[in-house]
Amino acid sequence: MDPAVHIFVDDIDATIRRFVRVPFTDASTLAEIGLDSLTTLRVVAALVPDGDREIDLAELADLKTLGQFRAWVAGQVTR
Amino acid sequence: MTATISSTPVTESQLGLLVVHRSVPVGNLYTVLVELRLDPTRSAADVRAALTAVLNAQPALRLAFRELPEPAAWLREPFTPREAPLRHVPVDRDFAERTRRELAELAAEGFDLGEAPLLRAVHLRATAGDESVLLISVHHTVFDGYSLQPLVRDLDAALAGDLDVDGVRPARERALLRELDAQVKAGAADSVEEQAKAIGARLRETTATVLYPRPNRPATTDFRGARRELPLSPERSAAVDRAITALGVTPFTFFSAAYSAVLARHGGADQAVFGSPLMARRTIGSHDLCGFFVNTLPLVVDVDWDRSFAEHARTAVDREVDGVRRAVTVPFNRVVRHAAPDRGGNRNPLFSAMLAMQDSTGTPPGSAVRSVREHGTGTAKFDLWLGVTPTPGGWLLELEHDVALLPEPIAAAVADSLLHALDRAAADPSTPLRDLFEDASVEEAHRADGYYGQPPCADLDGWLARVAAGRPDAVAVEEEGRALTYAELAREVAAVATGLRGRGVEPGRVVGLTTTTLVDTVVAMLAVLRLRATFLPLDLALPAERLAHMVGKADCRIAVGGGDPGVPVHPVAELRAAGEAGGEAGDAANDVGEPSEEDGVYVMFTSGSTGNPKGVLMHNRPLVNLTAWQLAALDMDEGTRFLQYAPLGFDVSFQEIVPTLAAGGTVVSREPADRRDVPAVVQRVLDTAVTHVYLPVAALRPFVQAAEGLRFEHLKYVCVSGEQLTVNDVVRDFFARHPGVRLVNLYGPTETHAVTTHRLSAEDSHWPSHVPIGVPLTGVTAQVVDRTGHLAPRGVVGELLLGGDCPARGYVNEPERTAERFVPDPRGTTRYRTGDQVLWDADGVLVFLGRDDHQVKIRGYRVELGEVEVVAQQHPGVRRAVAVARGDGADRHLVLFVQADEPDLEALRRRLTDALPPYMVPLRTFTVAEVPLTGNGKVDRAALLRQADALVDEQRADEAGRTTTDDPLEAGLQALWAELLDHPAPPLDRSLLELGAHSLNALVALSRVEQEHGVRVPILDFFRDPTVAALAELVRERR
Repeated sequence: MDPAVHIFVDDIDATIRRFVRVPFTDASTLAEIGLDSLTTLRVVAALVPDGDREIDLAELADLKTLGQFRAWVAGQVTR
Repeated sequence: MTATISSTPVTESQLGLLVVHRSVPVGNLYTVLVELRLDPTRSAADVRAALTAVLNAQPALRLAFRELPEPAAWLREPFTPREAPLRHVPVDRDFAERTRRELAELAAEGFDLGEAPLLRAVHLRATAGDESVLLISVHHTVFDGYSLQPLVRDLDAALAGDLDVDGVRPARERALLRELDAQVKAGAADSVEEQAKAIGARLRETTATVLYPRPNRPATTDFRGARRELPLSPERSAAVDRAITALGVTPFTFFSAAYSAVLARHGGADQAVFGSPLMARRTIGSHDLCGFFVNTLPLVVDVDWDRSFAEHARTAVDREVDGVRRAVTVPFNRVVRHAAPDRGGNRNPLFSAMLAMQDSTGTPPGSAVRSVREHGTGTAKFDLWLGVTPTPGGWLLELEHDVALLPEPIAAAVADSLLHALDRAAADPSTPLRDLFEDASVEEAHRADGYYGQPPCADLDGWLARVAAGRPDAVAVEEEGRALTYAELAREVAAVATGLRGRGVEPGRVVGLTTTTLVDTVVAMLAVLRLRATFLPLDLALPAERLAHMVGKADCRIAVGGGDPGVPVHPVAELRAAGEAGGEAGDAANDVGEPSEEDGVYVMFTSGSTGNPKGVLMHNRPLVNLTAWQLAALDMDEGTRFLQYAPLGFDVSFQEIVPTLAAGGTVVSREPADRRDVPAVVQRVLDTAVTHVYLPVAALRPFVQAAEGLRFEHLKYVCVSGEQLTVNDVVRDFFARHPGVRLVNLYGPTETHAVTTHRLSAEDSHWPSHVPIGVPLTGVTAQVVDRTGHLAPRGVVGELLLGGDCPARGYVNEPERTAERFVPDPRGTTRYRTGDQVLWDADGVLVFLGRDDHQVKIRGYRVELGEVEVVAQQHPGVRRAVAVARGDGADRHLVLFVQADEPDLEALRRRLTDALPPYMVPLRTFTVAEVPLTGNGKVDRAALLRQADALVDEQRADEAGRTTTDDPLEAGLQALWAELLDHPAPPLDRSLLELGAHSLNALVALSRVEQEHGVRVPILDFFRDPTVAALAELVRERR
C-alpha cells in the first residue's frame, strides 16, 4: 500500500472514532456501529479537504460494512 | 429594497417550494422555528454582532427569490449589524411565558420570498442575567434540517469572536454556487429521469395512505396544525437503541418499520406510503452551509401483519430505505410529474404522511449555544408528520397533524399506537406486526346510548300478555274499518294458539305466515309466540322456487293465512273457531312449558352471496332487549300510534308491532295506502294521528317532499334504516319546520336486528350529509376490528362485529354459514361479523363506510359513491343520482346517472367540480328516465354499468375536441400552452394535465397571464378545471 494511503487510513479510523463509540472491525456493518448516512457524510466531509469535491450520494447505499466504507472513503481522499 | 450582488441557480426542490408558496395562502407553512439557549453572559450587542456575522458567513441566509422572467435566486450583499433582522427583548419576569409568546408571534409571521433575509430573530435576555434565548424563524427554501449544525457552529464561533467572516464569505458563496450547480446538473442526468419515472410508475399502482378516511373528508384545508412532543425516556430510548443494534439496521429503518405499521393500521391498509426528506448535499463544501439541499421521496412499504417486526424491518423496510437512498438525487417534483396524481385540493400530491429523521440537537461542551430545540409553527404541511430527533436526553418523537383532517382524538390515537408499537418492537423485535398493537376502543365498544326500561319478564309473550291484561279496552291494532282492543287481541291470540296447538304446532316449530291484514298478522304472530314456536313470514309474491327453499330450509310444515305457500295453510278464522270450540279443554297453549329467553321468535330470510337466501333465526333475548330499549329511546307509551309500514318479511315490522304492544299503544295499518304511494302514506299518517313512522332510507326524501306544506301535530319520531342515510336541505327543512319530530337513523343487519342509532332533530346545529350510524343501544356491544385483529382506535376502519344482547341464534339449518359469521368473542359471548366497514369517528360515533360494492377506488383514492350522489342531488332539478365506477386501473372513473327535471348537465358538472376533488367528479353524466332497481328495491348498479358501456360508446363517437376559437383571449392562452406543452393546438376543453401540464409549467403560465393581462389567477383555481377555456373564464372573471 502506498504510504500516503496508510496515513489516510489512519486518519479515516481516527475520524470514524470521533463518531462511533463502539469497537469495530472491517466486517462490522455500518448500521450495527451506528454509522448512519448523515454521519458517514460527516466523516467524509471531515476528511476531504477539497470543498469542491462532489460525492455521488447514491454510491453510499452500496456501502454496508465498515471495510467497504473505509475503502470508499480512501478512494475519495486519494482521488 | 433588497440590494443584490448576483443571481444563483434555483434547484428543482427550491422551485417546488416556490410553487407551494404561491399556491398555498399560508405564509408561515414552510417556516423553520428554532430556539437556541445561549450563554446568558453574552450581551445583546454580542448577540447582534454574532447573528450579523452568521448572516454574512452563510450566503443562503442572504438569498431571496423571484418568479419572473424565470424563477431565480438572488444573493444579497452583507448586512450591517443595524440591518440584521433581530429584535432584543429584555425580560424581567415570566421568562418562559414571554419566550412562548415570542415564539408564537414569530411562528405566525410569514415571509415574502422576494426580500432577503428569509430569517427573523428575537433575542430574549433575562434582566437578572440568568437566561438568554435566541429565537430564529427562517424559511425552509434556504434552510433544511441539516443546516442547524452549521448555523449553531457559526453562531458559537461568532460569539467566541472566532468567526472570520471576511475570510470565509467568498469561499462560502462560491461553495453555495458550486453546490447549487451540482444539484442542478445532477438533476438533469438521464438516470435521474429514469429513476423518477420508475418511482412515479410505482406510485400510480399504489393506493395512497389516507388516515381517518371518511365521507366528506376535506380535500382542502387551511393547514392549521398541532404538534405533540413524545420524548422517549432514557430507559425507552436505550431499549430502542439496543433493538436497533441487535437488528443491525439504522435508526431510519427502525423508525420507518414502526411508522409503516402504524400508518397501515390507521390507514386501514396492508401498505403504507409516506415521504421522507433525504439530505442531498453533493459537494464537500456544502457541509458547512445552511441551505435547502433536500429531496423528499416516497417510501412504499408492504405490511404483512403476521411477519415479525425484525423481519419487516430487515426486508420490506430496509429494501425500501435502500431504494430511496439510491434515488436521493431525484427531485420531488419530477416524481410528481411522473406519478401524475390528481391535483385536487391543496394537499401534498404524493403522500399524506411524512417521517423526518432530524439531525442531532446536541451541542459541544463549552459552546455558547447551550441547547437547540425546533418548534412547530401551528401549521401542518402533511396530514401527519413524524419527526425523530436524537437528543442528549434520548429519542424525541414529535407528531404534527393537520387539525381539520386528523382532529385531536384521532391524532392521540395515532400517538398511542406509535408509542405502543415502538415499545413492543424495542422489547421484542420478534413480535408479529399485528401484536405491536393492542385493543384500542374498548370503552367505545361497550358504551351504549343508555336508553332502557326494565322489562317485566324475559319473554315477549309474557310481556305482551301482561300489558294486554292491564289495558283491556284500549285499541291495540287498528286498520281501516276495524280495530282490536287489547282484550279482543288477547282472546283471539289464545284461540288461534289453541287452534294451532291442535294442528300439531309445538315449541320450537316454525309456522309460516301468509296473512294479508294487519289484525290477522298480529294475532297469528302472537299466537305462534304463545306456543313458544317461531313464525316465518312468507310473501306469496316471491317466486315459487324461492318460497319452496325458504319453507324447506326452515323446516316449516304449517302456515297461517291463505294462498299456497307449499305447506298446509290455515286461515286465522278457522284456527280461531277451532280454538274457541275447544273451550277450556282446548286451551292447549298452557301445556307448552315454561318460556325461555332462548325460544325462537321469527325466521327471516336475507339474501346470501352464494345465491340462496339464508334464514336468520332470531330469539327472545335480543328482541326483549330491543323492545326494552325502544320504549325508552322512542318515548313509547300508551299514547303511541306506530304506523305499520314495513313488509312482514323485513325485521323492521317487528319494531313497529311488538314494542308498540309492549307500550300499550296502537299499531296502525298503513292500508289502504299503497306502500309505494308516498303521498297517500303521508295522508294516512296525518289522518290517523300517527306518532311514529319507520321508513326505509329511500322513502325518507319522497316522504318529506310529499309532506311539503303539511303540518304534523302528532308525529314525534321518524325512524329510518336499510342503507346509508344521506340528508339534504329538503330533509333538514322538514325537521326544522317540525321541531318536535326527531329523525332516528337505525342500523342493524337482519342477523342482529337494530343495534345502533344516531338521532337528529331541529335542535342540532350540524346535520352531516352522511349521517353516522351512531352508538350501540343498551345491551349491545359494537366492536370495530381493524386489520391487526384488535379493536380499532378512533378513526381506523374496521369490520363491525356485534355482540351482547343482539346476535341471532344463527342461520336456520345452516351450521357452516352460522359458524362462519357468528363467531366466539375472546372477550365475551358470540359476535356477529357484519362484513360492514365502519369506524369510530373523532367523537366516538360509528360511521358506516359501506361494503365493497359502495366504496370504490379511483386512481388510488377511496370514493364513497354516496358522497358524489349527495352533491348531485343537491343540484336543482335532480331527483335522484346514482354513481357507478367503471374501467380498470388508471382508467377507472365514475359515471353518474341522474333522474332530473329539465337537466342542465353542464351546470351540474360545474356544481360537482366546485364541490368535489377532481377524482370524484364523474367523467360522464347521463340522464335516465328511471333508475333500475333490484328485486328488493335497491339500486341496480350492475344494470347501470351495462347502460354506461353503451352510452359511453355513443358519446365518444360524437366527441370532437374543440381546437379552434374566435375568442382572442382563448386563442392567446391556447398559444401560451401550446408553447409550454410543445403541443400544436391543445384542445380548448380538454384537461391540460392530460397533455402534460403540471404545477411548474402552470406557475410559469399563470405568471405570464399575470404579466399580460394584469390578473392573478390562483393556481388552485386553475387546477380545479385545468382547461384553456376555463382559464380564459378565470381571467375574464378577474379583469
